[in-house]
Amino acid sequence: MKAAMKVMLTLILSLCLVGCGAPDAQEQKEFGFFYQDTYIQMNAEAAAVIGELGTPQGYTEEPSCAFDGMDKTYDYGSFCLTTYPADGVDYFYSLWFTDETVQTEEGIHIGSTREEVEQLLGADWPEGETVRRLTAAHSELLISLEGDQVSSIQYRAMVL
Amino acid sequence: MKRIRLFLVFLTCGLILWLLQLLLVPKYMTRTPEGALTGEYYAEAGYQDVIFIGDCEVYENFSPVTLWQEYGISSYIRGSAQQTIWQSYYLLEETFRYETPKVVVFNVLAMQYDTPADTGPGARREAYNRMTLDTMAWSLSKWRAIQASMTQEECNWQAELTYLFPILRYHERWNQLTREDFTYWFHRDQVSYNGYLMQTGIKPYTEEYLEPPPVNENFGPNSWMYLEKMVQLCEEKGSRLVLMKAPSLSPIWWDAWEAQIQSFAQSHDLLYVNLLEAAEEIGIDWSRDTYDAGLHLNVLGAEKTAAWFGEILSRDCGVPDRRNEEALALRWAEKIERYEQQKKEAGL
Repeated sequence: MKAAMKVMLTLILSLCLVGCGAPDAQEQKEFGFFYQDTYIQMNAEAAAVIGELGTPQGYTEEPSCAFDGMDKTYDYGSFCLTTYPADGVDYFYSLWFTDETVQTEEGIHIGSTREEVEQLLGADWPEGETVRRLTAAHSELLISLEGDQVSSIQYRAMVL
Repeated sequence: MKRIRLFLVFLTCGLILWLLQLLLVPKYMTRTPEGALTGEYYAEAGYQDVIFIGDCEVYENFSPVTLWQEYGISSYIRGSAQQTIWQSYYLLEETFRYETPKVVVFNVLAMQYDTPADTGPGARREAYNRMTLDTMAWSLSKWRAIQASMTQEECNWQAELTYLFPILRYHERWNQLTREDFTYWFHRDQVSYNGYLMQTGIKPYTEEYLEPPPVNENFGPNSWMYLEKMVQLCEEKGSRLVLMKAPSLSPIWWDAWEAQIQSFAQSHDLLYVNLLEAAEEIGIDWSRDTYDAGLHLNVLGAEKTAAWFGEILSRDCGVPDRRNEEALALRWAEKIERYEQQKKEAGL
């Protein structure tokens, strides 16, 4: 009887511990973007970087659906970025280019040709596809083509 | 005798675990009531002619009470926060186990998310999944919904177990328990009116939202697959599927998306109604009918959309007026009383 009780208590404790400490994301580089001397990395805390970037040209915010806090969007002229709140802290969620004056770390900008992108990334653009999706640990870089030229560049935090 | 004792030990341990689970899971009553929506359906299942399915654009933008009062349409909103199309599909599949509505209305905004990886930051996705799935009744549909919804990091047997036994997910809440956890240990209050979550605040829409353009203007293959499955399921069950875009100004509903849905609706002979385009005709006043600057409607706006859409459901879809059914009318009368009370308390 005592043995059965011990087995059951062990089982209960074991079950309660399952799910503890979800596997840590592997230490992989996240996508980010240098604007002048400021580095904006997806999923990183936003407050200090937003401070470094100075006053945005535009700003909007909207309540985070079913969560506390606001989803915020900042417009810096050549690019816009968004943040999401978690436990009272804002994190970078997405960034997209709005003109050709800014470029990725690889040197890709709006208006780059397909050939230039292939050279800079060191890989062919898959035939028939208009979007290249490059993934890192918890973020991605999305490059779209319209005709033979890059029409859109976005960084985005993602779910794994 | 020994076997009986052993059985009693197992039973006692099971009971303790069950009680602990009831205590530790989030109650979604006073905070984030969106998490209670899925579970509220079961008490109201079986007498609905119209089932709405979708995300917050559904459960905050349509008032089933107005549909009943003005058209005698008995409807239920099976909505949840950031409900994805795979979750919508499995909730619909589950709904057919309880009833066969005449019309199923699906809000097409969910088409924008092709896979769980597209839906935003991981911790938030998991929280949305829990809000939709934790209170879903056990069935094969729920199991499939879990499988389809889990993020890549969750895809392991431990995570699957946490959906089966939520205590494994929430045992860490033991030191965060609040009065709400004890008050609602064994019961829940109704937070919605047939799935409608009433909002009574007013925050006018003032300026256009900044949003990234869609990287890929085409909806993804997974989204299309679930929409096709939804069409087939409704055909098999004899329900009419209506596609709908709710009147919300953000997230932006892009022209390219509109064109794809129009084309799909046409090729599948489905009725598609874009209420965003009809906002003026509906009479939505963006300075007064929204509680969060245009993302969702408050009760004033939700009543207008229901009044406008009810005409389509009644006239074009043939949904009957059932106000002369005594038992049903009584059921609705109780809801209306609570609904009007909440409006009155908010000064509306």
